[in-house]
Order: sequence, then structure tokens, then C-alpha cells
Amino acid sequence: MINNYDPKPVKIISVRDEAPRVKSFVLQFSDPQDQKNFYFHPGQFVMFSIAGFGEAPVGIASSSFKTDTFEIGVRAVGRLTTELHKKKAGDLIGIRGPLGKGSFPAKLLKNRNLLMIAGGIGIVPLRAVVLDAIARPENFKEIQLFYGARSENELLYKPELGEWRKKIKVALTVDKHCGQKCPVVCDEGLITSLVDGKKLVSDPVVFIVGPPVMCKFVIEALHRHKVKDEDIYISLERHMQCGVGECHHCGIGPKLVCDEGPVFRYAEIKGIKGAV
Amino acid sequence: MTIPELKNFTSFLIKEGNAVYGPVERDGRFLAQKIGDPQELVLNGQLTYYSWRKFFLPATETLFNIHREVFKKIKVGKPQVLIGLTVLDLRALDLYNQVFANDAYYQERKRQTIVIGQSLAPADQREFAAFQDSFRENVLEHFEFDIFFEKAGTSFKVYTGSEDGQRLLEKFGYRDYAHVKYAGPIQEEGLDREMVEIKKKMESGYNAALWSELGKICLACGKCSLVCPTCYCFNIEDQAKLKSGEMRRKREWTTCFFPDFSRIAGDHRFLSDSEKRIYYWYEHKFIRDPARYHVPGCVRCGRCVKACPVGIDIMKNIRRIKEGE
Repeated sequence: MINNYDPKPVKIISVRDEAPRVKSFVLQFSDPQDQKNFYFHPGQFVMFSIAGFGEAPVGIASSSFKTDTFEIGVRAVGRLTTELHKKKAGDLIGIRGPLGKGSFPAKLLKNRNLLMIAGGIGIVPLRAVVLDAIARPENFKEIQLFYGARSENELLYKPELGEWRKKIKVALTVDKHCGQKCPVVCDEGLITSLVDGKKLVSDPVVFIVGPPVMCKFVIEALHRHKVKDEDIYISLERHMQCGVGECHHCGIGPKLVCDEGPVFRYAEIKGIKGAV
Repeated sequence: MTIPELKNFTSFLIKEGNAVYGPVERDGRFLAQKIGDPQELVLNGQLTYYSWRKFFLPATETLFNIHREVFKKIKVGKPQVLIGLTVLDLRALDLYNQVFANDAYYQERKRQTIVIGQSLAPADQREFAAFQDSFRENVLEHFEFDIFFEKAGTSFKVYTGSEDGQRLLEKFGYRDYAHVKYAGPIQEEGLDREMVEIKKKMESGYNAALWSELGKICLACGKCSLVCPTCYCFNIEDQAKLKSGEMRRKREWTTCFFPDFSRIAGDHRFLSDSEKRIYYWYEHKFIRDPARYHVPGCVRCGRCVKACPVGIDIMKNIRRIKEGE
């Protein structure tokens, strides 16, 4: 019987500073067969683990077409993530996954425009979609990204944003300008003001990843644009221990976020008490 | 099987080298404990104060020994014989078998466990207020067990539910049993109707008043979870033994009543107060377990009623949910 709790060793290939306390880690399974078996859909997550420090769920940030390595983006907020930030290229950590049956519905995007809305670290799993779109433009139609952070300093993937802007529509906003001269142009204000103020791509499918309070207000703003609940997909963040549908920390009504999510069609969860 | 024969059978199990656990009386409570002397075993159809969960999911268990970043799975458990699970406990096991169908540790432990059931004492003689007690025709075929003792007057009618159970009885020299073939956890007539009804009522959100009322009196102490036979939430934690450099990854029981249960990065807690926590507890049992595993998440044993320090009565609350107030 396969042991679902067994973390596979992965090697850290490289580490990048993205923002204060946020780093990207490019990873590769030590066993080439594990790397070959690692096929994911954007929106899925992995449990990363450091012996002696525990495990936590994180989103996958790289293109699903990239098969020799994959990438995670992690903010150092606790004991485990702080320990991860101490790791260097060549160090080993453990990975379980990809996990979650609910991912972003890529197939829809061949015929539909896409609007992505990311708040803070929520950009991590959406970067996988952006990179997929850049790698295979023939699989996509028009794409728009709204991305908000506390300040310019906190924006992730800054060196890439220029390249993204050439391929897709990108609008950035920060809660407050940092005051210094910044390489990226962005608005000041909440992300809902982008939704309210910008012209949206027509009749979009919408992907949302961000803190719970942002999601609530973004959905209200999308309703003002007459976007239907059936066209909204949202990635939910919850406390997780097992990642495989057993520990029930991540329940929402009849569902478990780790198993049936983390990405849900909003129409299917909007009636669930406390889900969004 | 007569009562003296049952004692002999228990002696036989112990002599065969099994660790045998069953209800014994301690300070006025029945507790499932290791049986040294078969005279101690009490098969009177009473529920044990605590559930039998720990024999399937230990309160704390090691998943891996970790040495130099290499995770080595530990060998699970030892052979054990559990004698005296009531039909309600067997129903709880139905749920566990679904939830942990793909769990290597649970399955390994289950393979090493002989489950011997007993019928529940009649309602008027029971210490617990379990209110679903009917020992109907066909009920046994929906439980996974090895041997079952049905109280019949002063003796027991014996059923087997597995080849392991048959082998044990044959070896002991007892052949007067009927075999029950396991037919899966779901009754022929379909999903449990009461389960479906309660789920529907809860999902339509009729009972806001109930949750705010419970939120005001519930202490969020978690005692109900501790005794509940269908609670199974757990944490996974690493433990370092600093001297040797050895580490362990362990999993241990927790409950949704504890503050960190729903905490995510940035200290946000989805279950921020007692009202949300007790709702989550009911949601898990009456919405999520039925939706995911198609069997009830509450077996109506009433253990939580007895354990609750502020007298929260799940039976009354279920009635209120069903009345849809």
C-alpha cells in the first residue's frame, strides 16, 4: 500500500529573493522517476516538509509545461517557513504532491477570456497560469491580471512583470506607494478599485487567489460587472495537516479543501456557511 | 455460548498470546482495558465511557523515524483482540474504514486487529441515553467484525463476520455459529434516511438560533471529542530527540474546539469563537461525513452528553435541527 504521508526528497536547485521575507525555491526530485511522475495542474499544491520542523501546504508557481524542475513561493511567517528560508541551493527538503483535485480549469480557456485576480502571496499559483499562457498562447484567448500588494516592495516576480506585460494585460495596485522610485508602474488603492475602475476583458472566466477578506469584496465587485458565479473560480486557503482528506482541518460544509479543492467554482460553494 | 464458555474463550484468546482488550468496571465506569483475568471482562451491553478509537487511531502514533532527512516508516502496532464493541461502536468503525481507506497506518493496524462485537443492552437498562438502538434483522451484515455475541437470555448467540473469526472459534472448539457475509456499510434501502434529512436541514441553515445559543454555553473544552467514537481529526508534528539527532514525525488527536485548529499563516482563525467551533463539529458529523463517506458521522451513543461539563445534549440538538427551527 502506498504511504500517502511519505515525503519524497527534493533538491533545492536555486533560491531567489522576491520580497522582504518571501523567497522562491526551484526544486527537483532527487529520484528522476519521482520528477517524471510529478505532473500537476496549476492551482494544485504540495506539502513541503523539513525534518524536525513539520509540513505545510504551498502553491506551485512554475509552468505546468516545465517538467525538469518546479517552483514554490514561500513567505517566512512561522518556524517551518523561517527554517526553509535558511536553506540554500543543494539542500534537501521533502515534498508530497501534487495534491488537490480542484485546479484551475485550463480547458475552458481555449474559448474564453481570462481575468486573474491576485492578492499578496496569492500570485504564486496564478504565476503558473501566466507562465502556461506565455508558453502556449494557442491554448488561450485574451488574458488580464489584476495583482495587488501592500506596497511595491511586496510585489513578487518583479523582474518578470515587464515580460508578462508584453504578453497579457497586467494592472497592479498597492495599498500604499512605498515612496521610492520603482521599476513597476502601479495604482494606489484596493484591488477592488481595479475591478471597478478598469475595463475587463469581455465575458471572462475569473480566477481569484488572495486573503479571505479580499475574495469577499472582489466577488461583490465582479457581481457589479455582471460576472456569473459559474464563471468564478476561487482558491481557498485553510489550515491543513494531512493534505490527503483525512485530518479534516480544512472542511467547508460537505467538502475538504485539500481534497476537492483548493480551487472551487464559486457557484458550488457560495451557499456554504463560512466558505468565502 | 454460555457465560462460562465465554470466559473460557477469553482465556483461550489470552493463552494464544493475543493482547485482549475489553470492558472492565473501574470506579463505576466501564473502560476498555487489557484483560488479564477473564473474570474481569464485562459483556453486559453497556457502552464503555471512552470510545474504542485509540485501538485504531492511537492518541499519538509515530509515522516516521527520521534520520539525516531520510523518513523511515515505522512498523505499525501489534496483534490485538478487541472484545465488546457494541453495534454503535461497529457503526463508528464503518465510518473510520471509509475515512482511512487509503491510510497505510490504519490499514496495517486493522489487519492486526480481531474485532468482537456485542449487542447493546436494552434501552431501559443502559447507562447512556443512546436513542438509536434497534438491533434489526440484517444489521450485522453492514458491519465489519470478526465475531459477534448477541445476547440471548443468559447466553450468547454467536455470529462470525470473517474467516479470521471462524478460525479462532474453530480452534477454540466452538462450532455453533452463523456466518454473516459483509454487504458494505450502506443498507439495501439506500442511504440512512435520518442522516439525509439532518444534512438537508443543516445545509438550509434553518437553525441559526441553536448555534448562537450553543456558542454561548459551550466551553470549547473538547471533552466531547475525546469520548466520541466518530471524532478522528488529528495533527501531524515533528519531534526532535536532540541528543541523538534522531527525529520523529508523529500524529496525534486534536479537536476543532482548540484555538489553533483552523489557524493559517498570518494568525487568521476561521473558527474564531465557540459558536463557529461547535457548528464545525456538527457540520463535520452531519454534513461532511455523510457527503464524503455516505455513512452517518454520529452513531447516537450519547458519550458526549455524559462528558459535557455544561450539559449540551446532542440528542436534543438533533431534534431541534430536525424540527428546523
